Amino acid sequence: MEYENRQPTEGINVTHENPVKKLLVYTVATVILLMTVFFVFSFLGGWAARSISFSTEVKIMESVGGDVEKMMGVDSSGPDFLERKAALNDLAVRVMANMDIPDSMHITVHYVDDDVFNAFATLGGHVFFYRGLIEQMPHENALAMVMAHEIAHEIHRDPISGLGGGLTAKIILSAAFGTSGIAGDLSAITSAVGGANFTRRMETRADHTAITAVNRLYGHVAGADALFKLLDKKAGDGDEPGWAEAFLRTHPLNRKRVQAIHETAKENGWETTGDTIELPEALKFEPVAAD
Amino acid sequence: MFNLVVICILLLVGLVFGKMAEKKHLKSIIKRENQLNALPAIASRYPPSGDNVGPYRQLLVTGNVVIASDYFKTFLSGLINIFGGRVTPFESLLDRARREAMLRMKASADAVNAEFVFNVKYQTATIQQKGSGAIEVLAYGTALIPERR
Repeated sequence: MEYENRQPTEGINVTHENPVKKLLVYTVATVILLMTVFFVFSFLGGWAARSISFSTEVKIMESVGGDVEKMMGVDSSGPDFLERKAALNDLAVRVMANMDIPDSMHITVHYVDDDVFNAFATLGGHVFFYRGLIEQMPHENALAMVMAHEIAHEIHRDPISGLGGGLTAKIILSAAFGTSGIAGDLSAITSAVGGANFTRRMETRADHTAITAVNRLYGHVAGADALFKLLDKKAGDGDEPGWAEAFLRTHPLNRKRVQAIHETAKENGWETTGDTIELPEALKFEPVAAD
Repeated sequence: MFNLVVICILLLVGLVFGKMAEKKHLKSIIKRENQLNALPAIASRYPPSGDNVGPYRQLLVTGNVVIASDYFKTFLSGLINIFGGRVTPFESLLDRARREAMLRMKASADAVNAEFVFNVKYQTATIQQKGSGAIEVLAYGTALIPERR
């Protein structure tokens, strides 16, 4: 018997190809797949969550935390807490009179004595305003815009549909692609980017509803863009953010929001100039140093 | 965002160092294959026979290697896993692993002055690690060592 030994021929068992090109193709395909799954399930989850009645939403909120203010850690012992809360509610009543709030919906406005520059709407019709935000409002018109914006979120059922959509999409993505490993990492990034895109659209819609309410209340929209101008100033030295930041932001760019307000006003023939109203005494604070 | 940057850095490190290691390894494999080419290693179950063959002593010879994937290969194969298809990034890795195991087996046979290795077989075992992987390839066979007459 004869035996022959030959050197293996190179290239039979190994495919020669450009690995970077292959990586790009597969990454793009994966991102498209994950994004599609995310948006489909965010939409379905949000739609399903919106079909939960407002009264059920309130019950869920009560069963979870009972007293909402306690749950959010609101300190009611601060100076003039009750007066400030009452003044906020007074403004809320006037703003809501100019909004189409469903009969079944009950909005509760809360005042939080904290430096945080924020206001938000959450489940059960609860809207929170922080002292840090109110004390930087130049006039009532600006605060009314923020209030109308948060109430618009409640009217659109954004808190519950955001929660329902976000949770559904995250559960589906982690069930399908896992939470660890490469696909897990990519689906986590998709959730973050997709979630940001989803909330950006909610913000734009809430802005639109809010500016309509502000026009009805004051007869003009002057000063309504004050918050966004303030946010823009806080954000930096007026530099345009990079594409990545614009893509990952949960809120639309402030400059675009100011622009959108002016465009809406122009389209509807609303006045963009007019007298702004001073903030009620209870909502005036000692001047604070701008940071 | 931070996650994304970390992934990109790891991919680049995996690609550059993986490629360098692969090139170096393949060069060394080809050189040693040429050196040990005179020693036949065959898959046949039957030892050579004939009038002027043997007698031989038989000895089990083994050669094994543990080889790890780089981040780039693991990442890309993870993506291919979603869609299916040939996992080409692992082809070169496994090719090198098998050839290295065979070379080590031949080296052990050569060390005992064997003339043949027959009934050669491969066995593999994965060493599972989170997010990465390593594989062991074992080559073994029966070495035939000429007995002094």
